[in-house]
Amino acid sequence: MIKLENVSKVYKGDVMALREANADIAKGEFVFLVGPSGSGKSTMIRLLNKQEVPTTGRIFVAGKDIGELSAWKIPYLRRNIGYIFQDYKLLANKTVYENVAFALEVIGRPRHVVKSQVPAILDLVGLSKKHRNYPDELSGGEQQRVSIARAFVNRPLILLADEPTGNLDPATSVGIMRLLDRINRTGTTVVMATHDRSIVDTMRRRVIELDRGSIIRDQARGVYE
Amino acid sequence: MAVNGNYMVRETFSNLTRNPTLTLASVLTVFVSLAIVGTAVLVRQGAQNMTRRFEGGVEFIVFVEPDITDAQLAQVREDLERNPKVKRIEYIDVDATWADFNRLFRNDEAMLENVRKTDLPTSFRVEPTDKSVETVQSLVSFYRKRPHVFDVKAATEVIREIKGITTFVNNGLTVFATFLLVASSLLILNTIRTAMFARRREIEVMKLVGATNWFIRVPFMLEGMVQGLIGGVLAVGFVFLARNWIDSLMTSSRGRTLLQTFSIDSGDVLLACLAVLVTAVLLSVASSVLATRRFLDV
Ligand SMILES: Nc1ncnc2c1ncn2[C@@H]1O[C@H](COP(=O)(O)OP(=O)(O)OP(=O)(O)O)[C@@H](O)[C@H]1O
Ligand SMILES: [Mg+2]
Repeated sequence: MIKLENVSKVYKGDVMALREANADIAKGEFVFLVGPSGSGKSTMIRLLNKQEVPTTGRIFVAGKDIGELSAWKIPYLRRNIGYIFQDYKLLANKTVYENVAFALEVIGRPRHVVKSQVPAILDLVGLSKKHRNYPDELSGGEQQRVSIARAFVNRPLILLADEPTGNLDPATSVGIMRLLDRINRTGTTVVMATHDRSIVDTMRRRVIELDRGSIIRDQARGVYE
Repeated sequence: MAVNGNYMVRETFSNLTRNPTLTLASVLTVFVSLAIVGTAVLVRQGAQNMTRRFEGGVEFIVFVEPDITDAQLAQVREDLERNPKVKRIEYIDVDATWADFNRLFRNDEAMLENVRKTDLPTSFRVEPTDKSVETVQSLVSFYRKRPHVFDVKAATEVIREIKGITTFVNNGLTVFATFLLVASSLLILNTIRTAMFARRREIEVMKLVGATNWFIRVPFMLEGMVQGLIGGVLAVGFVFLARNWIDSLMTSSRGRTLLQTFSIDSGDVLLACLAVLVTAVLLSVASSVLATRRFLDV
C-alpha cells in the first residue's frame, strides 16, 4: 500500500529531516512511527500525502509513484488518505455534523451521500448525541473523535495520524486508540506518529523508529524502545 | 469537477458579507472608475459623430440655401464639379438631412416642432484633390461668396473646436480612469485575500481532504466577480444618466446648430455600456485569478 524507496528530505537550511528511508507497508497494517523530537516522524507522514515532496527517492501509494502525480491529481490522492492532526483542526464555526459533512461536500459528494454517511460515521465514533454541538463545547477526546470521523467519513484506504493522542490524557488516549484499532480492522492502513510509550507497548504493532532522520529499527509487533 | 452549486453560492455570499466595509469599498471604486470609462467612451463617440461627416477625405461642406430651386442647385453643383481642385462631391439631399436633424435634435421638442423639413439647408460634401490647409482655406472662402451658398464649413474648423474635448478625454480621463481601475483591481484583490486569510483553516482542511483547487478557488473568484459586476451595473446606470446630462447640456447651449453638433445616439450608449461591462468582467476575473493563485500551494 505504501512504499518508500531511498527517500530523503532536506529542508531549506540544510536540515536533513529524512535520510535514505526505505519501508514497505502492506494494506491493512498498523504502523507506529516513534523517535525523539525532530527525528522526522511528521516529515515522513507529510510526504505520504504529498504535503511535502522528497528531495530524493520515490514514494509509492497504492502502487503509484506519487512523485509523478501532476498537481491537479493530488486532491484525488488525498481523497484516499485520511489525515488526523494532534490539534484536531476542527472548524470552530461549524457543528460536529457540519465539520464532518464539510469533508464530503468539498469533494463534491452528493447530498444523499452526505446525509447517510455522516450519521453513520458519527455513530461509529460515538458522537451521535453531540452532532449539534460546536467544537468548543466538546472535550479534547471528543474533538479528536470528530477529527477522526472527518478523516474517515470518505472511507480512505489509508489513515495518517500525527500524534493524535498528544494532547490527551492516558484514559482518553486509550479510547482514541480503540477507535483507530477498529478502523484498522476494517482494512484501513494506519500510520501513526507518536511519543506515547504505553500505547505502543500495549498495542504491539509494527514499530518504525527514527533517529535524526534515519530509520534505525523496523520491527513487527514491536515496543516503544 | 463535481460542483455543489449550493455550496458555492453559500460560500460566496458569506465571503461578501463577512467584511461589508471592504466589499463596499471595492464596489464603489469599481463603480467610479467604470463610470469614468463609460463617460469617456460617450464623449469620444460624440466627438467622433461630430467629425463623421468629414470622413473619406471630405474636407469641407457647402450648405446651400434652404429655399433653393432645382436650377440653382444644379448651378452650384456644376460650379463644384467644374472646379479642377475638386476631386469628388456628394450631395446630401432633403431626406438625409432631415434624418440627420431628427437624430441630432431628438430630445429637443421645440426644434422638432418648429423646424420644417424644407427649412433645412441641404449640402454638398466636398473632397478636394489637394488637402493642404491653404488650398482648403481658399476653396472655403471662394465658395462662401458663390451665389445660393448658405454657408461653408471646413473640417479644420470643426476639428479644432472639438480637439479640446478629445484631448481632454484621451489624456485626462484615460489616465484618471487607469489609476482608478488599478485601484479597484487592488481593492478586489485585497478583499479576496482577506477573505482567504480569514478562512485559511478551512482552506487547509479542504486541501487535506482532497478538495480540488478549483473547488476552493471558485467561491473566492465569484466573490471578486460579484463585486466587479455590481460596480459595473451601477456604472451602466451612470452611463444612461451621463447621456441625459450631455444631451441637456447640448440642448441648452447656444452653439448647437445643424452645422456642427455634438451628439450621442443609442448605439454610442450601447457601446459605452459594453465597454463598461467588458472592463468590469476583465477587471474582476484578472484580480480574482491573481488573488487566488498563490494561496493554494500546499
Ligand atoms: N517546514 C520545515 N522547514 C524547515 N525545517 C523543517 C520543517 N519541518 C520540519 N523541519 C525540520 O526537520 C526536522 C524533522 O522535523 P519533524 O517535524 O519531521 O520531526 P518530528 O519527528 O515530527 O518531531 P516531533 O516529535 O517534535 O513532532 C526538524 O529538525 C525540523 O526542525
Ligand atoms: Mg511531529
